[in-house]
Amino acid sequence: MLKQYWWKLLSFLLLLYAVTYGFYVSIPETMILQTMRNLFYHVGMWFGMFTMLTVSFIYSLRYLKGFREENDRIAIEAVNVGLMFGFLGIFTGMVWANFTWGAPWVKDPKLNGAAVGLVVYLAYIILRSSVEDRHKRAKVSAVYNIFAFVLWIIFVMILPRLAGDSLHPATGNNSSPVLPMQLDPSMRTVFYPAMIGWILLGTWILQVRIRVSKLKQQLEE
Amino acid sequence: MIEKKSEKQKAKLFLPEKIVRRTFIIMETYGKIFVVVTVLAVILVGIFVYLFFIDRKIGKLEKEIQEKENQIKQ
Repeated sequence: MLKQYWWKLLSFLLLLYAVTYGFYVSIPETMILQTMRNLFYHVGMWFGMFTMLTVSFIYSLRYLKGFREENDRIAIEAVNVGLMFGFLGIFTGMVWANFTWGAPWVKDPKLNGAAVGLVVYLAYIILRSSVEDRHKRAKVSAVYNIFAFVLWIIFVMILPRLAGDSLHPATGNNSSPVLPMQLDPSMRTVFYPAMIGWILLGTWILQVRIRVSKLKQQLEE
Repeated sequence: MIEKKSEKQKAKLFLPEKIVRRTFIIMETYGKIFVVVTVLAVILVGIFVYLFFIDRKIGKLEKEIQEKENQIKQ
């Protein structure tokens, strides 16, 4: 039992720690006041999404190597979980932005990049539903998924940095106190465990989705 | 901050004074924020327990289907 569940238990403990101690830990005094604690939760969504998309990318590559259906299954389910994190990231970001920037959505390279990134992956889901043949669908979507991952990195990580004038932290030369590299040491004690916790939670949901999908297929056969 | 000496001294028996003082300061300045934190923790526990039971349910289904497959093979 414990052998099977230890990392799930770890995810629970880490997130429980983040949700409780995250409100207790001392934070530096900044313009954004106590909302800085959102860093433990909002950023976690993007760590979760990026992990899921990376998993999907790797399994799409593996699918193209041997055309094993198992790999295609992991690729699609990882995108599904990644999209869930992505939307939560956008929504939590909007709540936060409403306070820090005065509006839920501002014209900013990072925000628009994240929105385009989500659209790229929504297109992946639509592409899948438009191809009827199972093997064809797997092949076409695996190729698209590799482009989608590259596009996502360009839109979310590279272009906002090149634009240079983003309000959002982690976009290049603005030295913000919420950057992980410049993070207050006391905040790091919550930030990193929280990120691991969110990633593990995503992995758990991914595992559940993969197993359900497998069961569905077995029933059809 | 209102000093609560008796309570503070009671808590002092178990915890280092620094932590006790910080907890009192936070509780007073943020207006009992830890009530909200506890609610968050309860929700988190609930979600994880729920996910755990879904996980176990799928495990049982997997076993059942495996058994049926074995029967068909025989």
